[in-house]
Amino acid sequence: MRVFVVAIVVALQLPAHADPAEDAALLHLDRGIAAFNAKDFSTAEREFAAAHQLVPDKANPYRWLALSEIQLGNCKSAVGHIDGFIARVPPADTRVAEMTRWREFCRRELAQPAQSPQLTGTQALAQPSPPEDTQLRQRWWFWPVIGVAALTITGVTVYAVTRGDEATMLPPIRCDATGCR
Amino acid sequence: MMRLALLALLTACGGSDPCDAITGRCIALQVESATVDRIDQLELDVLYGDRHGTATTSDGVVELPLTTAIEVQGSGSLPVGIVAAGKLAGVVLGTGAAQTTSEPGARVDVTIELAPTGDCEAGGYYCGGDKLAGDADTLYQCNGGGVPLARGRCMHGCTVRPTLDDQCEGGSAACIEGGYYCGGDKLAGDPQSRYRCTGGVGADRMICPDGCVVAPPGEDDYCR
Repeated sequence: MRVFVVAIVVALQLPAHADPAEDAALLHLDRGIAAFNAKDFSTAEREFAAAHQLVPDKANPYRWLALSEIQLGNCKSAVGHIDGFIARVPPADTRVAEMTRWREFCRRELAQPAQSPQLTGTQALAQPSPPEDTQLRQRWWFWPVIGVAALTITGVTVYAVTRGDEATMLPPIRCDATGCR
Repeated sequence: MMRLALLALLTACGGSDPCDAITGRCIALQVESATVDRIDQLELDVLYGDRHGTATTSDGVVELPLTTAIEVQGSGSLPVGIVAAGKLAGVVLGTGAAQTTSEPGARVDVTIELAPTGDCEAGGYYCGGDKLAGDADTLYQCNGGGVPLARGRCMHGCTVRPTLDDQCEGGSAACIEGGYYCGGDKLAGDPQSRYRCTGGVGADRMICPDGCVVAPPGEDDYCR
C-alpha cells in the first residue's frame, strides 16, 4: 500500500512522458524508495543517485538523496541536496518545512566534532521522520479504521467460535393440572 | 476500551440457561440429532405423574441442537416422560424420547436424540420403541404427522402384540369381578381407559379424555 501511495506521489512529481530517461529514473526512484523503507539506505542512496543523474533537474531525487544520506551520516552531502531540492520547488511545498528541519539538524551535526564516521542522525537525535508520503499512520482516519477492523474481526471470530457450541433456545413449555402449553 | 468491547460481545453472545426464567421445578431439555439438521416446530408430549399434555414450541426455522425448558407443576417427586417430534413444514423429521424424575424446585437436564420416525399406524397403540419413539414401559398412541401421544406409564410393563394394539399388563393381582379398573391396574389395557372386570379381563371399555385415576384398594378406579 505504501509503495503504491509513494508511487502515485512520485508519478505526480515526475509527469509522465515518453522520455526513456524519465522512465528509467522513475524505476530507480521506486527501487530506492523500496530500499529506503526496508532500511537498506546504501542501496537507496545508489538508486536515488542513479535517478538524479538521469533527471538532474527534478526535485524529488534531491529530497530522497538527502534523506538517505542523513540516514548514512553524510550530512555534508545531504545539505547540498536539501538546498538543491528547496531551490526546485515552490516555497509553499509542504516538504520544504521538513527539508528545512533536516538542514538545521545537519548544520548542528556538522558544527560538532566528528564522533564517528557512521554516526547517523537517527542515532544522535531521534528517529527520522519518514517521508511524509509513507506516513499513513499519521492520517486522522488511520487508527479509527484499524479499531473498527479489529472489533469487526474479533466479533466475527467470537461469533463463529461460540455459534458452534451454542444451541438455539426455544420458548419454554409449561405443564400444569390442565395440560401443557 | 477494547477489553470492555470484547467482554460486552462475549456476554451478548454467551448462552444462557433455558431454566433461568423458571422459578419452580424445571426440565432443561436439549434436542439434538444426527439425521435432522433443522426444524420449525418442536412438538412435545409430556407425561408427568398421572397427567399428560402435548405442546408445541417454535421460533421459526432453527438448527439443531436446540434447548428449551419444561416447567412442570405437581407435588413431590414426579416421574416425567417426554416424547419429542421435530417438524419442518408440517412433516415429522424425527422423534425421540426420554425419562426423568423431577424434584420440587429442582432443575434437571434431559437430552433427546431425534431419529427417523418409525412406521407406526396412526391411531394404534404401541409400547415405546415398538414402531415409535418412547419409553418401553409406556404405552403411546401413534399420531400420524405428530409426536406420539403417551397414554400412560405401565405399572406392570408394556406388552408388544404384533397383530393387535400393544397394551399395559395388569400385573399378578387379579381384578374383582364387576369392579372398574384403569388399564394396567389388575387388568390389561390402556391406562387412559376404564374397564369393567369380566372373567378376569377388561370389558366395556370407556375412554377417559382427562385420564383414568387408580383408586385405593376396595374402590373403583374412575375417569378424572
